[in-house]
Amino acid sequence: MEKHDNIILFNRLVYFFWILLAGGLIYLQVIKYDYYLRLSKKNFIRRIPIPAPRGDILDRKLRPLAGSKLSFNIVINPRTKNKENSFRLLAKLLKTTPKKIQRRYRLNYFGPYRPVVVAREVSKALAFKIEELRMVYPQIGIQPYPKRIYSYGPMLAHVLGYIRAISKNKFKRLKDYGYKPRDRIGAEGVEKSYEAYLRGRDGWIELAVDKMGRPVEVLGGKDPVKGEQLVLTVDKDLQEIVYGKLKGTVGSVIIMDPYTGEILALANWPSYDNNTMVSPRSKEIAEIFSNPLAPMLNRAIAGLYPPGSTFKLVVATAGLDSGLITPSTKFYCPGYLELGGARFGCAHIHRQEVLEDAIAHSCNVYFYHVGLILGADRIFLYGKRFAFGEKTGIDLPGERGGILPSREWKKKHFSQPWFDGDTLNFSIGQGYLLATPIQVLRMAAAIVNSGKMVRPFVGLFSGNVRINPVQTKDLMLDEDVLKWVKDGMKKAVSSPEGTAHILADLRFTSVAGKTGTAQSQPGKPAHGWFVGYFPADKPRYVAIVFLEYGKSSFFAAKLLRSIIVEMHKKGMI
Amino acid sequence: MGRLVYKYRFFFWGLLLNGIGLLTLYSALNYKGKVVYEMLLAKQIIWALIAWVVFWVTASIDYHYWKGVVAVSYVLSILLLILVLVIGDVRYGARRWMSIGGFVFQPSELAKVSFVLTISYILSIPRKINIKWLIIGIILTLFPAILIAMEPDLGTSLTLVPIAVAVFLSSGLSWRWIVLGVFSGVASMPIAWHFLKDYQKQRILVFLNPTKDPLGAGYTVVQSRIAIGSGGFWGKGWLSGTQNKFNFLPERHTDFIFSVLAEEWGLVGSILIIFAFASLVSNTLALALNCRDRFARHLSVAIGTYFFIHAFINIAMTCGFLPVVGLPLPFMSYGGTSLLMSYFLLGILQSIARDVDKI
Repeated sequence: MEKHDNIILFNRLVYFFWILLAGGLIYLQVIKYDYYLRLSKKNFIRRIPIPAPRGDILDRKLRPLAGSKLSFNIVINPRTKNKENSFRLLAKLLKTTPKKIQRRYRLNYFGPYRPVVVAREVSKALAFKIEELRMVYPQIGIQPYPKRIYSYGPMLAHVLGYIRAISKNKFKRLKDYGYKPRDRIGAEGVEKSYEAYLRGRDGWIELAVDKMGRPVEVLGGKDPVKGEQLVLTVDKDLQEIVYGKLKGTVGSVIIMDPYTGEILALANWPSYDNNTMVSPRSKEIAEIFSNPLAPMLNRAIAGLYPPGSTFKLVVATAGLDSGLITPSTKFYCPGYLELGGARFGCAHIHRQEVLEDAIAHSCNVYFYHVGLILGADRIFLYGKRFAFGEKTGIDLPGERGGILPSREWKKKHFSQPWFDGDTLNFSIGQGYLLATPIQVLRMAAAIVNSGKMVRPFVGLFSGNVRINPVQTKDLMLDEDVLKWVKDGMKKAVSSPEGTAHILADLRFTSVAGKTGTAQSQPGKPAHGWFVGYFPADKPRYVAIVFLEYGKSSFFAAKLLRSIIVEMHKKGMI
Repeated sequence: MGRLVYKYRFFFWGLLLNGIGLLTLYSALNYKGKVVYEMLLAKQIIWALIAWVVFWVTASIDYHYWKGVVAVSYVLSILLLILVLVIGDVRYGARRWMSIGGFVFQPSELAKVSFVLTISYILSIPRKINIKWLIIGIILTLFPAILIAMEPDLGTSLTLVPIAVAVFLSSGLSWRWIVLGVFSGVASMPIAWHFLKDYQKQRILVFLNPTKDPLGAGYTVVQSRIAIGSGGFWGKGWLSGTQNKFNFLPERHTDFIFSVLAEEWGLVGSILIIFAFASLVSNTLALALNCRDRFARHLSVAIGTYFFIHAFINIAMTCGFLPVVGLPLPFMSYGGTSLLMSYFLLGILQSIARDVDKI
């Protein structure tokens, strides 16, 4: 029967379709199972990073210098429809235009599963308001994060540095160490040099969310781990005095422990507010960068200047140590020295002088003679022994080594032979010689510390672990030699004709040191130097004051005087 | 026991699917450990209870009785279809629903059942189909099909075609003609494209490439596929489907109930559902083979096709094998009209079986 055959045929057709359907389900649920399982997890699992706070930075008496404060960013979840609504809503709350929010969104967009930051550091009140609005607008949210706070801003900016978003190149190098794009990383100061200690380990929380991105349940997570605490050698009170006194004068002041190399204070002026650098205030950041006085420059370790007469300490040591002069060697100063028809000047007519007086009066002619006796090669060797031309290895980024010239150096750079005139300039710390304040300070510290030269450092402890052992290098100098040099330094203060006599009238302490007034570029005022130590008989501190275009060493010595007076007032001396 | 199951085999399959459907519905209406739309679940249970009564009442009525109401029901359903185009509620851009005193229903659901009765009766008049009756049959199909398509509800409208075709076959039309018809249908598709609404074109385009617009029209299909695929062999467990409970599945209590089931019950569950539907359809077609009465045979074939076409298209659409059309899964999707009509058709089958099984 045809009708029955038709129904049987139809039945077979129906079976064929059922088998086709079952096959389709096997394909989806067995063959493509892994694929769809992954997609379903991606759908409902959101991993939200919890940024870890960086370690606090403390001074040597454990007073906070840098810490973290909870701040709030506004984010938009990229996997939502109707972003225009979010833009409009946020524009209203932030009193800006939707277009600006949209631009920030596009700028900060990273991937479909990462919330996009559209406003940074909003007020707590606004953050709470947005948390409430989340019930209605699940596409927006608040991302709490620990904001870096520097308690003293410019005062310590050159020591602490700041943090900023990781650059693309740096990220490529560091991604194996757990860095993520847009992480913040130490950019200057100890924030950079101790990044590995200070950096915390970010945590995360895994949430199950619904279609609207609303969290439904917590699936798991890991708590963030705060970075290690960093204790610095810096004394906050001393730093406050030093920065306060320097403020308004371009230059640097460093105070160091001559026996260990611990930096007790390090200040430059102008400085910058490192809090600005971690804030979304691009205009102010641009102002810092465009300032002609270069406030970002850490002059104490990266500014290169002729050390001037402070270098006479090296020349004196060289003369005595090599036995070519004795403390009683005399030279006559008529106010100048004539060499090859040129006159090399001196500040005064000192007449007959011995070494002690020559140091105290900073007589150029005396040191011209010593220089000529020593010769440029020997001065170079002693300069090298005091590690001029080399970085001190201080644990701050950006240090520069300066220039310690020699015959070879001059030939290489100027294709000229070395002249005796060069030797004369070299003898009084002028000419090609360029040094950083920290180098000059370290040289003086070695004279104080029985010829043992320290490596300066600012990082004392990370957690409970000492991070910088005291490193000294013995310069193999005779104790007598050092005593004779120190006698000259003492006399520079104590003698009424001494160049640093302004420091003499301190009743509570005695200071010893060497001044330097170094010629800068033609037509510009000279740089002022003073490097010294106090108390003179039992030195506790070695200090350097450098004033860029400061006209004269007098102002440098005067500045140190005001610092020491203040230290006395605060009971530090 | 086995005899009892056999005797009420149609009701048995309906009840099995209905039971699994209610469990799945319970899960689909669950959010954060609570049933959020208790009303919907309660309503569906009440509808099921009413539907069982409808089944027993229909089963106890001699199926020949329905010959008498064919004309009235056909005309009435056509009028309702016209009425819904005029005063129907617009939802999702289509005029498909009608509310009479708080009671909301789709006239197209009634029209489908009325069409099953009508086409079966009309073609039981001649001994064997000829050109005249074929044309009458086609005209009777086109009226409701065009009206439903105008709502627009192309999916429902197209379900009438296989039912009509099946009854043509049952009344002796050579399958060669059917093949010819299918071919000419396929050939005319480019012309039909112009008559489709934008959203229908959109749906077909999205069906061909569902990931093109994941948050737009293709979203439903993508999420449904993810739900089904991620269910795997054993499923994620009842109440534990992440696509379901975290609200990624739209329409999951109605047209997309199968994706909830497949996600939570896995391949085991989905094959069970296909097996149940296949058994129901197969039992129905087997019944048709044993019918001496032409009307009974056509009815069985039409009803079998009705269940087949709904189950097949609905499941294939949730899997993304076919474009999304608004067809419910019989016995499982939420909705009173569909449930009532399904049990009504089972009742007719039971009534025919009583006659046939006696012999």
